[in-house]
Amino acid sequence: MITRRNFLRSASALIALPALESLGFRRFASAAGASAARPKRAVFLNFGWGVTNETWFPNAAQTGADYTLPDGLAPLARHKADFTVVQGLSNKFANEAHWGSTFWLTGANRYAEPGQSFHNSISVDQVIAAELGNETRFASLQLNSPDVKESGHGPGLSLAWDARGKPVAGLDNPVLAFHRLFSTDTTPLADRQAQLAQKRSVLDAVLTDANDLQRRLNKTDADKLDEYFQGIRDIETRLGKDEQWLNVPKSKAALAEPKEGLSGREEVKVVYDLIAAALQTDSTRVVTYRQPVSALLQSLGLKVAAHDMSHYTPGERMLASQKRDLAQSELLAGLLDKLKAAKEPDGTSLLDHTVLAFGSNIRTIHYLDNCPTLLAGGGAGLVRGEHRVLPKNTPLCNVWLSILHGLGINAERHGDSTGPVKELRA
Amino acid sequence: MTDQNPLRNESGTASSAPAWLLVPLLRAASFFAAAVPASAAETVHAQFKEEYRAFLRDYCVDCHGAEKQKGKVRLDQVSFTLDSVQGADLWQKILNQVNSGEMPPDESKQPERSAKTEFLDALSHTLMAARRTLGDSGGKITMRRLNRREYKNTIRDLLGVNIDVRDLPADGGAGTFDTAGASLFMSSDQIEQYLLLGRRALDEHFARTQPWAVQTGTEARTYRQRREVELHANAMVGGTYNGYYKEGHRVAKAYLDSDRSQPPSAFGKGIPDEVEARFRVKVFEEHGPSFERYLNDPLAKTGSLLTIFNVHTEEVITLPPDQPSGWLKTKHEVETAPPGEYILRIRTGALEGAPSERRFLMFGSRKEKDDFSLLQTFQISGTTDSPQTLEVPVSITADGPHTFVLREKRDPKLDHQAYTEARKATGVGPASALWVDWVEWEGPFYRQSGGGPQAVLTASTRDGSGAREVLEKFALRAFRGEAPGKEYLTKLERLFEARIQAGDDFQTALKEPLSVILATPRFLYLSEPSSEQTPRPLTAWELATRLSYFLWSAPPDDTLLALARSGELQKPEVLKAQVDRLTASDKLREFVAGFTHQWLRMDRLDFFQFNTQLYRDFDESTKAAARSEVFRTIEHLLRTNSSARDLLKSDYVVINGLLASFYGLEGVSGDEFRKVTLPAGSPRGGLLGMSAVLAMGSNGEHTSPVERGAWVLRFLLNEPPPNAPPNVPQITRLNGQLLTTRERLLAHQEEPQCASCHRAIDPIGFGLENFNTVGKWRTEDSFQAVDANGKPNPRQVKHWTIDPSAAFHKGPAFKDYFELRDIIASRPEAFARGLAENLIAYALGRPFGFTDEDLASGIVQSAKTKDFALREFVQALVASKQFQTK
Repeated sequence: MITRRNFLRSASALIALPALESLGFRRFASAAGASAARPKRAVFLNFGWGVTNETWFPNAAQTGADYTLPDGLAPLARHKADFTVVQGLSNKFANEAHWGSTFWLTGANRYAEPGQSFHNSISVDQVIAAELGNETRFASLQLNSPDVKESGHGPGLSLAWDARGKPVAGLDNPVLAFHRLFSTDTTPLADRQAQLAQKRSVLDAVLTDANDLQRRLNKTDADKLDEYFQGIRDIETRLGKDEQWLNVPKSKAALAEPKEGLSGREEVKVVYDLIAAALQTDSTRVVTYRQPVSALLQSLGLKVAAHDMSHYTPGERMLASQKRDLAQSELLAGLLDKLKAAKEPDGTSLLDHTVLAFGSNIRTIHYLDNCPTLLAGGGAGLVRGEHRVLPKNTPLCNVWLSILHGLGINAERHGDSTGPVKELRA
Repeated sequence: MTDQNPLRNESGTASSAPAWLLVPLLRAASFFAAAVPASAAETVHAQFKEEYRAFLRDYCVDCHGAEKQKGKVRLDQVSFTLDSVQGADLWQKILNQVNSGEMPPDESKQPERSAKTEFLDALSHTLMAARRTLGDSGGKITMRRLNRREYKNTIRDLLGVNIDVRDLPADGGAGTFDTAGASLFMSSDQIEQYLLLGRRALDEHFARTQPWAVQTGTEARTYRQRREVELHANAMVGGTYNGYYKEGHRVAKAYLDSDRSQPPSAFGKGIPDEVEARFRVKVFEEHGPSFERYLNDPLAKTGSLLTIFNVHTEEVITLPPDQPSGWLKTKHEVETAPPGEYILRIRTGALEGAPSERRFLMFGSRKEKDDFSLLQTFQISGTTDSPQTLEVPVSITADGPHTFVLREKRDPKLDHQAYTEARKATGVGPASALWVDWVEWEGPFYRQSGGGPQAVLTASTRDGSGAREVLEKFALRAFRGEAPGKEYLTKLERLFEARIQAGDDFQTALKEPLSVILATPRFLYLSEPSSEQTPRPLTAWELATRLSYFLWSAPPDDTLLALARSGELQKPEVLKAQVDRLTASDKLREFVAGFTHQWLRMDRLDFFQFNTQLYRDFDESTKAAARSEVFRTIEHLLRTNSSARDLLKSDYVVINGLLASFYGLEGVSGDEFRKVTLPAGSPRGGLLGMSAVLAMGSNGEHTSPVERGAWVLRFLLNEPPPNAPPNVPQITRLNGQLLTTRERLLAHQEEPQCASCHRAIDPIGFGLENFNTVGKWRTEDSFQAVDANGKPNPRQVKHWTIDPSAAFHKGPAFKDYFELRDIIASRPEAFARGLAENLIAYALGRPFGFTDEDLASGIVQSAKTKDFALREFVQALVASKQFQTK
């Protein structure tokens, strides 16, 4: 019988993407530019239904480095010097009280397009991937949870939206993600070259039909079919990358294959491990993860439905909300541990070269202002170890713009940004 | 609306219009407003009533006027016609600011509560209307790809294979149906997924349709294997009892009674130390009697009993290579059950004296160790003296489950509690209710698919030539009658040749290009080419496709294709007859479930885990049956062409034995859903009396009058309240106080931000309070206060008799649920309108917008002449110009 695991293995072998990351490549890279600065990385983590207002945010009166870490962030105490909590941010067009992710990284106006009931624009991770993604096997990595539906995320296939505002697919199975990133392809080189050639022939065939069809469509439909063309182009890009990487020697992933069927806390933990490993092996430099909330509650033994919890009142639901905060902070602290422990060749840590944003478009309950935002790492040259309270309703996109600038990407604006946030410059 | 209408506006005249309007009046959203459809020819825009200009002048313009423009916002000249995205955004901002309480600022003059409430109510509805006009499709139907359901069904019809599509992204969301082209995206991952799934489907197809013998070198045949279940059951129960419990107890006891000079191992095996010895004595005393009772039961000699918690909780049917248990091996006639269609048979009966609510058998599949996914629940009418034989058809796939499990219907989470209670009372676990005599499987039976490549292969060639012919025929079928291009075929042929050169045999080599066909745009998209921007009539082929995906979520069958070929389909009477034929087909269930689930937002039923401690009989089986009731009722209305009014109120229900038992209706048994006439005075009959609908209006633990009220407004009265707005302050001052649900919700009326919506929503919910969380009738309710740690405080409990009386906002009063239902049932036109709008959105694949106002009115008028017969909605829609136009 074909087990799911075997299927996934064969799937990762069959679908584009052979193997690996690697030490081999790093040797390459450092040989090419030994003195070059370490690559910068960006990670975006979103947790759908906000946080507990009363216990997650630091006291607004205590700003700067000397602030008391609130209960909800207590598990992060050992990393206090490595992150900044920012208050006062929001997406001004956000109007959907149950959509914690859809516009988080885009700042788009759902209704901006006349004649359409839904519109979105490029997410900041994809802007970064366009710049930083060229040198790695995966331009960016989108991770997802199978649980997203009841976790307050809103429409989308991951946190990422492409240049045309279309959703980018995400991997919701850690095992599959593991194999995509790290599975060793044992197929002989010649066979893999033949496979690549065959895949190109397949794309060529479907494109023939697509072109036939395209000629006969009106503009709206042709635009729709353009998504298909874009999909094919993306596969071609990936095949091109596969080809480039065909001769790169393989190295082993620093972690074991995850177990099947992990859910909630265990899932987040494993995905965080994958994120750390993906960055460490320089398989990719841009990662987003749309985290589970509903399954997280279940894995914590909390019987409250996620949406109900988000409408907490003192008692059971608020306790659940606070336990959720703690669990999320503990998990994040674990990820920061990993990123700190991973040493770069120059002795600095991976975290020093990574910018990590942790937050949601939903603050708490139905509130979409003061979006919870925690920024960690030194990758974008942002201030660390502080609590900053910005003027009310500062565009969240100003932070994304600051990150872009900090990563050396010279963007004029992002979403509804009005300018980079001076207060965050280190 | 006329003056005779019982729902007259208290404020007076029939011409009184709602506070917000479209110009011309676009659509009714107040309970009392007349539905005056606008002409589609005019460009309309949402219009905020001029009378609210005074509100802006009094509370906003001082800071946002000609002299000062705080925050660069100026409102003294703002347009009250919302004719642009920017205009609507400004109003949205105003709404958000007032809703959040930030404006007017505390130090400024504040509006009266009632004035603010009216302002917010009017503005939020105006914005809903504006989003609808500004987001209007302009009548365009965007080409769409097959959604996940349709893809699965299309593969099924093409290849006779049911594939697992969970790896494809789920469609829908963003408030649209999963048929809305503009919201159905495509990505590179998905294209790769289609290639992969297509290949798997083809493998399965060939494995199924090809005589098994060709592949295995064995004789092609079907197998039939019966298992007398007592052999395994007794080996397992007896082995556990005699080995673990009895012998373990003997050794433990001997050791404990000894002078302990020797270790436990001197007395026998399996007990390492004193702790274990004491434990084994204890578990023997606790559980031994339940095992012993089982083994001594005469029924265990001829079959197996299904128990609760331990001993023998389930029986299994296993197809090779799976085995029932590790205790005994079954000799299977064949090593692996070939993929195909099988029949499972179960000879079973209920024990004498088993209560009627325990005479249900859950049937599920098992992929790994202990998992169980429910497929069906059977009501057991047979007895141990006169058992019945259940026949269950199942589809076996190469990598799908080969083990099927039988259990007594229940929520296993409660097992331990039920077992412990029974043991304390009687010394043994709960008595068994069900007995299984034997189980059997038979198959595979091969299912022929219409134009699958295997059929083409058999018909044409097997000798290695003619690949192109096979590819062309299959592509023609896969493209729903449209011919594939020559160059495309040539490229497919080259793929085939490359595989041959790589050493594949003919059939294997063919699978490569065949799977490419299943990832090609003309298979994946329902394309209706049109170069011009002006609408054109659909071709007969396109019409066949649109119709079958509307009513079947599947491709056209041979009959439809033949009618398309001859052009007959475009004749109105032929088309009408086809709608009747499609409606009579089993495939209609795809439409009913797909449409209804999304229309009535039934995903809410899966948002919570229902608390079975409180609602013991609302277990997985009941929930599934409750969901089916909604679907089966709508299916019944469509098939019998009964009135949609029956969904508001009727003197019958469409239920099976399980639900009859849940509702406490006598004289209904069996698993088939059927029409059952209700006794006088029953609260059932119509959507409002359905467990699934009421349960959605809860959080699995308590009822939610707000959810229920909003649901009624949205789906039954077609007056959708605005979505929960962001940043509205939460009311917390009543937390923990001992109040009735109603007293607590009345706090909604205090703050204008809450009152503007809740004054319309909550009263309806109050009228439904006689239904508990899972929809059972009740007259009492209670509230249990919890302390800051979430622990219930036993002294802080309040009980009350439910008062269901209330009044519609600016509308009639009702004294109880029955009057509430009568008022709602007196407005069939509003319900019909909402139904028509949703059908249009689903069938045309675009969000319902202003463009479709005339169409909706036309459908409602047409259905009204037939007393709102449900199929008339479908007929009128299919007959419409819009349905037949690209």
